[in-house]
Amino acid sequence: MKFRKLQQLHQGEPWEDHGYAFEREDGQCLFRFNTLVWGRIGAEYNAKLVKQGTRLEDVHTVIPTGDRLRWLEIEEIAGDPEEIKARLDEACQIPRPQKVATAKAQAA
Amino acid sequence: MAKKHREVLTKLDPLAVARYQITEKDIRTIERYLKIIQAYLAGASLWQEIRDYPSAYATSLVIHELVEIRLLIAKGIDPLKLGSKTLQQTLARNVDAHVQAIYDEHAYLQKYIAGHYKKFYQIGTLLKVNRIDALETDFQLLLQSDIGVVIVEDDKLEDARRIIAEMKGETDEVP
Repeated sequence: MKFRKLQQLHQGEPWEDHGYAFEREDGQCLFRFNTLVWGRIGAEYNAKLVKQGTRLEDVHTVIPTGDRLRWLEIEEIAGDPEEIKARLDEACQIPRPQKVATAKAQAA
Repeated sequence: MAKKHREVLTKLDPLAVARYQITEKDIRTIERYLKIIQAYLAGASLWQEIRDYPSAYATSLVIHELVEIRLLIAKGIDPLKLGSKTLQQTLARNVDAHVQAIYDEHAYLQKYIAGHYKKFYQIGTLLKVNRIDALETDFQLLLQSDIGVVIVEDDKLEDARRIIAEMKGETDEVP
């Protein structure tokens, strides 16, 4: 699966993985984001990527970066896309759907 | 309080302002909260959307943020005292606050649309058209939460999509 990592910079810390864009089988690129941070803004970027048929190499033209946000170059990993996405989600600390009761128990 | 906060409060749906007891201080809190959590975002921001969107749609966005903030405060967390990274981590440990905020945001849209357009849509239907996200991130979070049964009316999606677009001011037919 081809993907590009999005990294963010917190003060006094090294760059951290924060999200990623990946290429579907049909060549369409989608943005996987932390909805707790990006919320509807991330959803709207995804809609824009689909509407414009944006390719992975051009994702930065739709989702802009700044001093504290950057896109890395395209990477490619062989394997099951769902497993790769699960690993990337974990690295980027993107919450995956779970029972609220479980989330509450973890927070306690 | 700054003029911008008063302006936002003034344009909100008065029924929602009364129901959620929204004050100017709440609006200022929302701005500060969003500026912490989205500190590094370039381009669009939720605070700007709250300022730019018409009354009812902006109200739905305010309700989302307010419910999330109030739930965090109820758990003894003051989100305004946290840095960007700590706040992100705190939210990740309290996903239920975000899920409840999604629910309240769309419950408001449901009630507003029923009153102004005389049409009823399930919350799942409204969320599906309001977050035009191919990955359906928020929809999946709500679906797999314990908040209730999420129903999507496939035959009403297009109609609901049109109404949400009107509420966002994307057409000239705002009632």
